[in-house]
Amino acid sequence: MSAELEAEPTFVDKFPEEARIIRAAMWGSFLALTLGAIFGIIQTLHRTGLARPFSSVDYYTFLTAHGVFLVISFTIFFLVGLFTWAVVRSLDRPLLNTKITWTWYGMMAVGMTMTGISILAGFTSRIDMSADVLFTFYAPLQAHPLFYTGLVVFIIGTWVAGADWFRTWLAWRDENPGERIPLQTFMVLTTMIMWYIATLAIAASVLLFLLPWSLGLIESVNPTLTRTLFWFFGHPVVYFWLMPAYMLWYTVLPKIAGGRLFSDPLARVVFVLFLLLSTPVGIHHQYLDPGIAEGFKFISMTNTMFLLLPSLLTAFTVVASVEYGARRRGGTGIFGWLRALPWRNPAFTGMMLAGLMFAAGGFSGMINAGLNINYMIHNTIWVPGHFHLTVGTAVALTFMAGAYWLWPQLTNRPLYSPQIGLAQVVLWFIGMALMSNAMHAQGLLGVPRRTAEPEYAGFEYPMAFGGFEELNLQLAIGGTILFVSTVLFIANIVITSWSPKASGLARPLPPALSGPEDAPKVLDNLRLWVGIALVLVFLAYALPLAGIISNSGVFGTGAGTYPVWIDVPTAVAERALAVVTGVTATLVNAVTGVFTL
Amino acid sequence: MHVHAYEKLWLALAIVLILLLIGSVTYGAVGPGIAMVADSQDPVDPQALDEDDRFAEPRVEQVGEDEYAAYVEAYQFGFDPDPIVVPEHSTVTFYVTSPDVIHGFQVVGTNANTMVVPGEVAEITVEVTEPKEYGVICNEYCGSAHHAMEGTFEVVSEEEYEEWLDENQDGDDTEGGAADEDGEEGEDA
Amino acid sequence: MTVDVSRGGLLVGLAVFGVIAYELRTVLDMLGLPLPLIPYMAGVFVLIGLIVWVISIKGGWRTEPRGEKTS
Repeated sequence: MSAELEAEPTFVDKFPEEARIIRAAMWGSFLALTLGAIFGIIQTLHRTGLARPFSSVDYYTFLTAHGVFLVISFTIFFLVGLFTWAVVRSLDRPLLNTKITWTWYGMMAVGMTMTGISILAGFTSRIDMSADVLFTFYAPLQAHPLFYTGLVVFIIGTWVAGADWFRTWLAWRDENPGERIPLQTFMVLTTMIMWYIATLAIAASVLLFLLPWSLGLIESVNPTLTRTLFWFFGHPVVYFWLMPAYMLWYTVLPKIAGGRLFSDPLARVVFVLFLLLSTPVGIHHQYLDPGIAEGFKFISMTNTMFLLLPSLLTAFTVVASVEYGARRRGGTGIFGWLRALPWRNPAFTGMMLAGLMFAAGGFSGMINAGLNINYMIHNTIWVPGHFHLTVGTAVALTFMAGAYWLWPQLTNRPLYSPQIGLAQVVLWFIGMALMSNAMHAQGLLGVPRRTAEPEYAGFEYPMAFGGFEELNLQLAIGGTILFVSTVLFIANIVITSWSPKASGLARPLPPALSGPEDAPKVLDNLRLWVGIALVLVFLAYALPLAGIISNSGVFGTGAGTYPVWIDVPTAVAERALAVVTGVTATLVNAVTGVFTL
Repeated sequence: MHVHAYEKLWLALAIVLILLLIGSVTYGAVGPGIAMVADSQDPVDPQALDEDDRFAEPRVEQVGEDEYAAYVEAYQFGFDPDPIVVPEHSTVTFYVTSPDVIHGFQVVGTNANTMVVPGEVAEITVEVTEPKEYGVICNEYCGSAHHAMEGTFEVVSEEEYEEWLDENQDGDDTEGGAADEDGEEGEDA
Repeated sequence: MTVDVSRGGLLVGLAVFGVIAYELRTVLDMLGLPLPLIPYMAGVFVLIGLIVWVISIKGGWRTEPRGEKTS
């Protein structure tokens, strides 16, 4: 068996140029993770009051950077690397034209650098540029034009990446007529179709409104419209993060567990469901928006609840596949088979712990989705508690675990220390459990998210779950453990670069137990699914968008422009002046009986 | 396509769970009658709020027996009026808007929570019971002093409310003077 | 006689158990018994240590690899 592995070429042996691109993408991803983690620990200590070496105004710069670098840069650079590997590996052929590949990579890198610079310039007043608008950049808060431009370049880069993979698949299809799309490529193509649909709205919002507005070409934007266009994109983007993780759970995890994927057809069904349902649910991020009718919110709620289905199906398939592997390794009993699994393998354990936390995140997500119950937790720190479990663990930890498995095949170097890798993933689990649990509890007390100082002068939070102060401490401990875990991950990967090369690192993936030949052909009919997806999106969004535009106009009813580098003293002074003027007018009115305003 | 028996069972349970969740939300909407913030109010011009008689002078106003309207402006970086004072055991409808950026309006520890969008007026109706003092915070990032943006919502006894009205008579509350009269005094909003 | 779990499995099992034990603090708080955070957390670590000690007395965890391929 191991003689075969010794002889089997690794991915980098077979496709050296593609491996270079994938490594470049992943280094970009890990750089973003490093920066995001540094800002994360600063935020954790600041917010909980343990250490505030920076000003609270700078906190919002850290927060914007943490959000953008982690959920745009870290996740999507990893995705493009992973998907390139998956397409090339499953089609067993190189990309059509690596010049195009380097072009899209370059666009993504340049775009993210532009946006990053515009955010980080907010730390110094010597550069008149900032973007303290947070990852959601809601108007009328306005960032520097470089912020929006960078995002546009980055997203167009991802569009070209998708085209690159589609064209490679089409070339393969010409060479292999009548064959089913290999599963990993199928997953890549359906994910990218979802992405094209999703990014239509954010591209429209930025190119038609926000960017011209930041350049002074138009005077005002409609806050409700631009918000709605953001969340049209903002929900499917979480599936853009999640579907690469699902790809790893479906196609790699069973192999690491010693087994095979339970069902290829069901994996296809799940990805088609995500393609269809990810976008028509965005309004569930806007349950408490004035300006959107309740009926649309109710529809979004029902769509969201049905979106639970593919994740629940994934839970079954993944556990079944892992159990199959465990029993092949000799595991017995109703639960005893768990002991037969390769827990010492950080790739395996990382993905399993990520899946476990995802279940918890899914439950808190059900609360978020519950329309009227959303009142209790909207914009509280419960929401970050939820998404640190989902993107922060299900996605991030799976990516780290996947990196442990994939990196040796991209470099021919074994991982420097699997033991540290195992400690790292367990630490992530523990740190996230502590931090996220504290966030959920504080959210129920009413503690807000997105704030530098959650303690207020005029009131005390209700006392429950140990109370605000203790939960702050738990949050900070969790966040610190997460930071240590990130350092261990990055160090492990970086030091691996100096490990001596080795052979025998190939890890071929076995076919599924129930293979693609069992999958109904209609599943591969991508045109059909695109059509249905577009219809569903139209049904979910045409009326709400038309309603917003007819109510308050394409450019809004005259909202002002609020560049985020307005300094607080000016804002306060302006408001004070307005109050004084108002009081004076009222007094004059009372004395003379004549309105002066 | 072969679907394992356990998988069919799991699929059925998943669909039951989804239907239960949708059912519980529907119950919340229909039974206790929890309405969502919606587009019930017409859009306004955020830079001309002083021409809107609700927000030129943000205030609490009696609109019926035990029914009050609170016209609130959320701005960088505070709330107006502050404090928002209402008497106990009454129904209060908040109308909240912003002259500048998007804010949040949350009565801490309760489910009175809404986005405040410039150009829109958010309407939510709550029922208050015993006298209590609540914090009001902005829970949507609105700029560099967002963390300092807070107010107070005070539910006071009938007597205290009358005292409050007397003290503030020359201020904003020029409509609907005495609070404990029956009948519709003041405007319906 | 050894406890039939590998060292990696033990680590993960203890981590999951530890998190559940820690979360129990929230349940106790809801049932009316609030307990301070740092002593409780320390207590969970002590409990984990006890479990590891008991396992090592009973012969320790499984050390021979059980047909494991490097994955």
